[in-house]
Amino acid sequence: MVSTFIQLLLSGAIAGSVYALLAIGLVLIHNGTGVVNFGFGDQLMVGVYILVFAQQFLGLALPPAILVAVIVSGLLGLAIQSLVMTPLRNRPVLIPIVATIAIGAALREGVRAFMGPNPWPVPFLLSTSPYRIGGISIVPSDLAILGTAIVIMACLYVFFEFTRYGQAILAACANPTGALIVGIPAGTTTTGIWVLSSMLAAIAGIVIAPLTTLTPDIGLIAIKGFAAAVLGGFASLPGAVVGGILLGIIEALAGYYISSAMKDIVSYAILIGVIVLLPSGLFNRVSVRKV
Amino acid sequence: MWGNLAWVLWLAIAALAPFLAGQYLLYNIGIVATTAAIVSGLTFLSGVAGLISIAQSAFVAIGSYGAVLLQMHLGIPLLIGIPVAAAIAGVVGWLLGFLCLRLDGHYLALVTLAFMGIVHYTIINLDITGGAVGLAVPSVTLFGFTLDSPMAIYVMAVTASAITLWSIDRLIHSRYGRMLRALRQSDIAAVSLGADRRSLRTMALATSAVAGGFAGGFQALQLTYLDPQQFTIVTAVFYIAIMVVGGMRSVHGAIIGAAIFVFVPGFLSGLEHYMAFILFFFVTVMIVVMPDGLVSIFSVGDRLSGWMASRHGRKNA
Repeated sequence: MVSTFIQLLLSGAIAGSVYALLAIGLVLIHNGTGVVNFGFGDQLMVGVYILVFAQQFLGLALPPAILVAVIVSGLLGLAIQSLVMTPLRNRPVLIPIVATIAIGAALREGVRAFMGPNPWPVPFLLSTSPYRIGGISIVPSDLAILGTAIVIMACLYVFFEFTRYGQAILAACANPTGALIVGIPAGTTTTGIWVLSSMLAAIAGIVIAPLTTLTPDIGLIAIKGFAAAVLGGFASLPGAVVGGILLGIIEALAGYYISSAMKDIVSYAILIGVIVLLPSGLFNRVSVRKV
Repeated sequence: MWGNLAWVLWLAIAALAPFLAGQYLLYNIGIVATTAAIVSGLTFLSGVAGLISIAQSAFVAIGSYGAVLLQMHLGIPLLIGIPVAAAIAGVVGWLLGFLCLRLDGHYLALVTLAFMGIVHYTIINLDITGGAVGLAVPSVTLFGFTLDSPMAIYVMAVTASAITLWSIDRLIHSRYGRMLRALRQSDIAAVSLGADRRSLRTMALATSAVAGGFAGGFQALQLTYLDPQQFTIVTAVFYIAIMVVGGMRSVHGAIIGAAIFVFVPGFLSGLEHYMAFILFFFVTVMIVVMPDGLVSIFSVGDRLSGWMASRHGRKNA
């Protein structure tokens, strides 16, 4: 019993670490530009397809293929930001949101047309044969997911806390006008945010895709990122990390103890429940915006 | 001026189609009408109230499944069941708005996205809705006659769509529509003049849900089968795209957008695989270069005459 529970916590935390990456990508763009990126899941999908394309059609080995996928995803983010989001930056927030929805749908349908609607195999990062340690089975490929997520988060922590550029992005997120006044170029930080967030989408996709099936609709997994971000209050990066891991664990527990169909519906329910009951997330004090 | 002219044109097309169009074209014109009516709900919500919903397909599902289930299990005739199911969709929309519209607009997009997912999962997992297999839509019977000919379905669907579109058009130009527009343009000014932001926005979501449920119920008659795959986040996004392409400020935009999405794939049949991609790519380009939609091409005339009138006035003064 106890080992089942620990096993569930572990697998929940592993999935949750990927949700945390998704949530970080979403929160970054939201904080930096005031827009929720509804095309994020489709950017993730494109990242994984680039990996598959680089491997199967260009004949690259896994590590360079991953590098190509992450870099091209970053360039895609750059293109979206400079061609669509920048021209729309002064329009009512409805317009850029609809733009992200449309870009996401265009990416999804473009990939469906180009690569076909059928699933593609995605390589695991490490072996999938489990080791047993004291009644708990540990799968190297799962540990690779957790390890990747932890390394990425550590890199982001160093980037935001200890580099000039990271500090500039945080400042622009916290107070755009203030950042402009002290001389932080808004255009550069916005570009940085979009590139970084798009690369995160690709990385999250590459680690999670082997566990599910890669079809053009894999982008729906972004809903977990939304739920994780909302749990964390949609404002802070640490909140996004905790929200992601919490969501992964809740999902694993609900899937086992209630029913496996619950697993899919949990993130939808959390999304609605948290927004309605705790609009500023689990960790922030409620601050009602006055008119 | 253009608005009235457009109404005359739409009504003429709808009235002449049964005499001039073949069966296939007639069916498609009917689909354009119901799709436009579904989208007009979104036009009201986004174009007038400035909110975004990714759940229009969910309200369409409530309208169509609701009407069919009311007929199958309670024996309520479809022509009564559809308005009842549309009212249920409205209540659900109102509740959703009541729960989350005290917050920023972003949150409505997220909540409706989640709501859409829940409705889709519910349809697939319940026995009463036929699960993943779906449900056949029974025929309408009226005074002992079975109305299942393509012509009868066309007449019912187009009439219902015309009622929906005309009602939304009137609402846009009503006091209620003007208050919502004022809220969208400057909520501080509108609230200080006594507009109740939360209840107005909640009513806007309920209105769009009723339009979706009502027109969706009649679209179910045209499609004759309810397949759960028609009611997903993907189809909800299609409705948003239709609204954007036509233009989100008037119901004419919804009609133009729906016509493009129904007819253009037929013209470009050699590009079938790339059709959806081309349409969404076009939508993205439209948002950047022509954010008021295709309908804004026509308002160039209005702007020109307004400009000439103002010049003329200045000369006289």
